[in-house]
Amino acid sequence: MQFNSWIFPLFFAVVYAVYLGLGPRRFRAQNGLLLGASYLFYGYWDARFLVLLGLSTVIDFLIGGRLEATEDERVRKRLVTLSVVINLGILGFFKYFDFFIDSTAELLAALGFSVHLPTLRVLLPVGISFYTFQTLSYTIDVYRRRMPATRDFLGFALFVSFFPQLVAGPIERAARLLPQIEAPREVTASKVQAGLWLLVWGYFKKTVIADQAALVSNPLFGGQWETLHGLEPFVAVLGFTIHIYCDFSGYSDIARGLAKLMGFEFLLNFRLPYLATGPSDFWLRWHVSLSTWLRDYLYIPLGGNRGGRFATYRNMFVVMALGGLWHGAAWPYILWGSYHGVLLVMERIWADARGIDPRRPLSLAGEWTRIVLFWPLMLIGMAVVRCTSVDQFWHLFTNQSFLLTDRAAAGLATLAYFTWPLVIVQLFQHGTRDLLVPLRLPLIPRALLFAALILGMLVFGVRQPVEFFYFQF
Amino acid sequence: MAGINRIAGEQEHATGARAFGLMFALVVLLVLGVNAVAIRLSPVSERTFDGRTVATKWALASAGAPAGGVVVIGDSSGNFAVETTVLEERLGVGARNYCTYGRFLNLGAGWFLDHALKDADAPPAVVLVVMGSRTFALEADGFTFASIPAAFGGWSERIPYVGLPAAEVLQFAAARLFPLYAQHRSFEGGIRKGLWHIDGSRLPIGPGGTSVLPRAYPNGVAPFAEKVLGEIAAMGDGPIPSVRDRAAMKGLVQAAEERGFDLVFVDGPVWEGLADREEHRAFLAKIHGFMDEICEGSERAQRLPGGLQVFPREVMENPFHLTGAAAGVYSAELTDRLRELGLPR
Repeated sequence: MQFNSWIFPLFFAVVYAVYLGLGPRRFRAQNGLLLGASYLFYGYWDARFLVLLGLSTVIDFLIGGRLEATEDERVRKRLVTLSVVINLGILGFFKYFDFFIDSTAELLAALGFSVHLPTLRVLLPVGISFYTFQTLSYTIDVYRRRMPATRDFLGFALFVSFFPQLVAGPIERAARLLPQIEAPREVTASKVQAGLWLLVWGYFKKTVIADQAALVSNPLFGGQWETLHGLEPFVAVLGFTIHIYCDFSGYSDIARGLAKLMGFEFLLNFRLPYLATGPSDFWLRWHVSLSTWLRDYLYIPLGGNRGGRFATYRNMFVVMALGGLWHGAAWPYILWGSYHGVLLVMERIWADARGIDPRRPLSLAGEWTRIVLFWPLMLIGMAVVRCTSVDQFWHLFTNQSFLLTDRAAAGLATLAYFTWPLVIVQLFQHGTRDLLVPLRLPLIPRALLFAALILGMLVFGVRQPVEFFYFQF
Repeated sequence: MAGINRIAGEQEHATGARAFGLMFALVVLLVLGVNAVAIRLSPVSERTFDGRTVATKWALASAGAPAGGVVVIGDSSGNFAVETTVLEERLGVGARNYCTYGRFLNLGAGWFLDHALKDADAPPAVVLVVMGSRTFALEADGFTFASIPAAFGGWSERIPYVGLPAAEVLQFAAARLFPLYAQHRSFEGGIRKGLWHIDGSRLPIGPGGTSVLPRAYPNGVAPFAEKVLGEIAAMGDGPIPSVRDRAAMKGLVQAAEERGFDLVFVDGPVWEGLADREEHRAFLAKIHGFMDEICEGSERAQRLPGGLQVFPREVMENPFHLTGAAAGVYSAELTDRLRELGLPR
């Protein structure tokens, strides 16, 4: 069930009415309701997916309990290793098995060996990358004694499967979400208002900006790419850059808005990434719940920046390459992650050489200069992840010029037409350092803004539900 | 401020239940107010070429079917291929083309006939149901049905007597109550490009109801055919024709017997490249099989014999849409076959 499908508003309206009816005193009953709703939400895609979700839940709940019960460090280490192996094993099998088999076959073919390796064409369960990382954070945190194991199986099952963030994040940490699940939630007017803003803004970003941008860029990356020239490659990549951000951050906003309506708080996942001043700043703003997960559970265990400069550079690169692989079992994702790894390492080398902090305070002019300078580098990364072949990327890269063709002009006009609300809102958010700044408006302008966004969605929203881009991860 | 702190976060904005309730009510009022204006300003049929086709054909049907003449209902293949002037000239009776487009299915196509029969002094002699194969692979939606300028709920009294499922009834209601949503293409075109009126000269509709496509699009024909084959494949093991189409087609046969006109199921024109495909042939065979089954034993209903009329892509806009003189060729062949059947009687 997708947030932008017809059925979801009906589903949520029923769940929310019952949820509010139960009230915070019966929060465990509310948890039961949300768990049932979450399994229904997920099973709506394919009931078979529920088996894996249930399996992950039971295994990590049991391992968490055993970790808590024993003080023997060797046993604890074995238990957490078991959790990591099982979770990554499931993820690896369902997400990467066919990719590795196909890649091996291609490599052997390139070396002159004709082989027919068995492929299973495994069905990829929606959102498996997200909930696998989420459950892993639980067992690892219990192992590190950063949190106690929970004894509330119902609550833990809800933590793994909570429908607003189950299929595309934010990737929640057990230490943050479980305490919210295991206590009464307060639904206040302030939270409901903030939740509604996130819902309306998220849906607007998805159905109007992202989907309209996709209508510009998808045909250019599709059958037409060999004919692109002049500014058209730029328009294609710019369209995709707008599409992917509004699509994914729109989903995160909707997820966080739904959570707020029910009294929960999810992690911030996007903090104006297109106003980043450099690679390291970008990753403090883009998919924050993943980048901080990779930092805490991969970069730091690898040694972080504790092993000298070279080891730091190596760790940064490895983490980003694996982050790319997390996004998808395909070479463009790995190349995209590696590309950002290289950018991060270069920025770090440059900063180390000059003895400065890459995220040091900047003047307004310095900040905007760096924002503008980082944009081309970011766009190249977007082209890497969107192109389906090296040929396509090379064609786009080498046929780019400043010639404003009719197709480029039409694409730019459409992108500008639908993106200006995003630019204005984000400039205000950036200027005030407050992502909820629209709620500062007086009552009547605030109501006008809400109404304008809703009316905008009614008229300009793309009708055919377009699947959220990040579902494929 | 700069450095890490320059990254925006979320700040708390306290509001009371009353202030929030007031804002919420204001938002609802604003949205409903604009929507109310849209309801007043919007015609039932959208300001698009499809909407214009529906409105024009409905108005044509309002004048009543030609007594003793030929009425054509069906999808866009019939809309562009059946020239009423050719029918009138070669058959010597009046002819009207009420064909619209595929998403109306057999059910919606029947509603045009029903509307045309309501005030007619006498029934037409022949009713042709012209459909391209793709129409049998399409799904209906309430928004399409709602584009007919007819009363909500009126479908329960129309031929064919086939009800709408709840989802389509809701869509029908939504289309009438929320034109901003249902007619978004009109409003988007009007707001973005100032296109508040349709330029009828770009897709002229003749006095008999035949639409004329201005030019062929040969390069688009084969890709479209692949899409159609995908839609056919997506029907899987389900019944072909669909349960909905079966009921509507039976209803049309029944109407022919009750009201005393001859009903002929006719294959619309098709691109030769698609007609040759095995998947398409198998799909069409199932449809023909069902047509033959419901016409068997009927005095009034039959399927037009003689096989498909196929055309090269050079004269087509898509695998089912004819352009220019090809429509005349199709119509002439159609009249020849009708005469061989002794129709009109």
